[in-house]
Amino acid sequence: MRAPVITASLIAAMTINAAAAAQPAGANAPAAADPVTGWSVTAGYETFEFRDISRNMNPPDASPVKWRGEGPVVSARYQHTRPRSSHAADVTFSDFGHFEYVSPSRTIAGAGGDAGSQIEAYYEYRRHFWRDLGVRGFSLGGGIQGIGARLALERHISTAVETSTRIAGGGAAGIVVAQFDRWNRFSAQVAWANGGIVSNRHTEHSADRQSAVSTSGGNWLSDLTVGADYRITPLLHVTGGWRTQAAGYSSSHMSFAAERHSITAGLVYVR
Amino acid sequence: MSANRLSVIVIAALSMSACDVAYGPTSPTGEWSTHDSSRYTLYARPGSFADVTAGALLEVLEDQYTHTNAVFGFAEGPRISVFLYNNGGELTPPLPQARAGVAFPETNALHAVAFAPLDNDLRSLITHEANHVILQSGLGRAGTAFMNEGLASAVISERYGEIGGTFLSKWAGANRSRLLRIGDLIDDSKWDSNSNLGYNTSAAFLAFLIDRYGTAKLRQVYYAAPADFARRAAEVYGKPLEALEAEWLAAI
Repeated sequence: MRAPVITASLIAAMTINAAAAAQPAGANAPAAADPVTGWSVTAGYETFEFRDISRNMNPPDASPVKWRGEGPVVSARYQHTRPRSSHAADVTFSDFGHFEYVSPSRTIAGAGGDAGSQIEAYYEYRRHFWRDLGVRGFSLGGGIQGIGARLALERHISTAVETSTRIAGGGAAGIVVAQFDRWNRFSAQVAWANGGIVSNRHTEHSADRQSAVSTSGGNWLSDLTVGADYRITPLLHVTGGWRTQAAGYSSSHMSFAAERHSITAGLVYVR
Repeated sequence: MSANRLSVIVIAALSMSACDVAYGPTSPTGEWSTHDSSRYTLYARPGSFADVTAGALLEVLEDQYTHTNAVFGFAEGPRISVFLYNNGGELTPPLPQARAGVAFPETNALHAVAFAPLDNDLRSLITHEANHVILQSGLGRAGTAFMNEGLASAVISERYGEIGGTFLSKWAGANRSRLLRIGDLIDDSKWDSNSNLGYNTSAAFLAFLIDRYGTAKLRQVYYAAPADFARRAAEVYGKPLEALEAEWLAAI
C-alpha cells in the first residue's frame, strides 16, 4: 500500500506555459528577455483511487477492489520565469466524496460519510536545457521539486463505525519537461515528475481509543501532467490540463497504492 | 562535463527511480462469474470449481461472518468481495503456495486459490481470510502480526468442519514439542508469514485465551505493539505472558 500523500501537484503544469507564452508583444507586456511573473488559479474535477497492499513486492500484491472517490480540486500558483529557468510555488487542495468500491464487474456504494481530502504544496525550480530542439519552439528541460503534503481519509464500516487516517510529510522529486511554444498565443507542455515523500501516519478506529497508532512511513510518487495555455490578452491567459498521479505508500502494518486523475481549467494573470 | 548536463543526469536518475510506481499494481483480468449472498459477492472463473460450488462456499462464509460477529459482538460489517482463482499463477504476483489467500481489509476484499475438493483446508483458508476483513472492520488494525494472523484462525466457526478451536487445541497437543514460543511470536521482526507453525501456534494460544478469559480482555491486548505486548498482557490478565503460556500448555 502508498500514499498519496503525495505529491507534486502539477495541475499547474498547465500554467507553466504561462511563463513561456507570457512573453507578449503588447504595450503592457515585458520584453522577451525580461523575467515574467504569473499568478494562476485553476479548478476542476479529480478522482481518487485507493487499493490496499498485502505484500510489498514488484509488482505489489494489491486488492482487486478499488475504494474510489471524487470531488473538486483547486490550485493556486505563483511562477517567476526567466529565459532559461523558472521558479514556482503551488498549493493544491482536493476534496473527495461519493466513495464506492469498484471491482472488475461490480460497483458497491461506500457507507455514507466516507470522505477524503488532500492538500499539497511545493516549490519547484526548472531549467530549460535544450531549446528549439529539432523544431523551432520545442524545448526540453528538467527540475527539482520540494513537496509537502497531507492526506486525510475517513472510511466508514457502518454508520457508527469508522476508521480515520492522516498522513503528512515532505519530500522531493525530479521533473522532466517537454514544452512546445511556437506560436504567439498558444503553448503546450508535458511534465513528468518522480520522487519520494517521508511522512507520519496516524490511524484510528472508532471501536476503541487504543486503536490509535502513529508511525513513520513513506511513498514514491509518479506524476504526469499535460497542459495547454492560451493567451487572451498580454496580461491574461486561460489554461487547462490533465493530470494523473500514482503513489505507493508503506509503513508498519499498512501499505497501499493510490491514483489520482484530474482535469482542470483556470486563469493566469501575467505581468 | 558541464553543470547543465550533470544536472540533467541527476534529474533523470531521480526520475527513473520511481518507475515501478508509475506502473503500479496489476488489476484482476479475465472473465468473472459473480454470485451474491447477503454479505458477500463471490467472483469465480466461469465453469471453475469455485463457480459450480459457489453456493456451498457462500454458506460457509456467511456462517463465519455470523460466528465472528457473535464472538466479538459486532453489530454489522461491510459487504466482502471474494475473488477465487484456479491457481496462484493467475495472479501477478503469484500466490506463494498451492492453496493460499490474501485479505485486503481496507477495501473489504480477499483473493484466494480454490480448487477441489471442498475440504477443511479450503474452508479454513477462505474463512481465515474473511476473518481478516471482518475483524479489522470491527476492531481496527491489530498491533502485531501474531494477533492479526492468529486471531483470524482462532475464531473460525466449526459448523462445517473441525477447523476452529477444537482443531487448534488438538493440533497443539499433538505438536507440543514443535510449538513456537509466544515471546518470539509477538516480535514482528521474527514473524514468518510463510510458517504454518507460527500461524497455528498463535491461533491455538489466542483461542485458549478467548475460551478461558473471553474477548473483552483480548480486545485490551489486541492493539498492543510488539514492544508493549508482554507488559500489556500482564496488566490485563494479571499474570506474566510466560505464565499465560504455561497455563495454555498445561491445558492442551
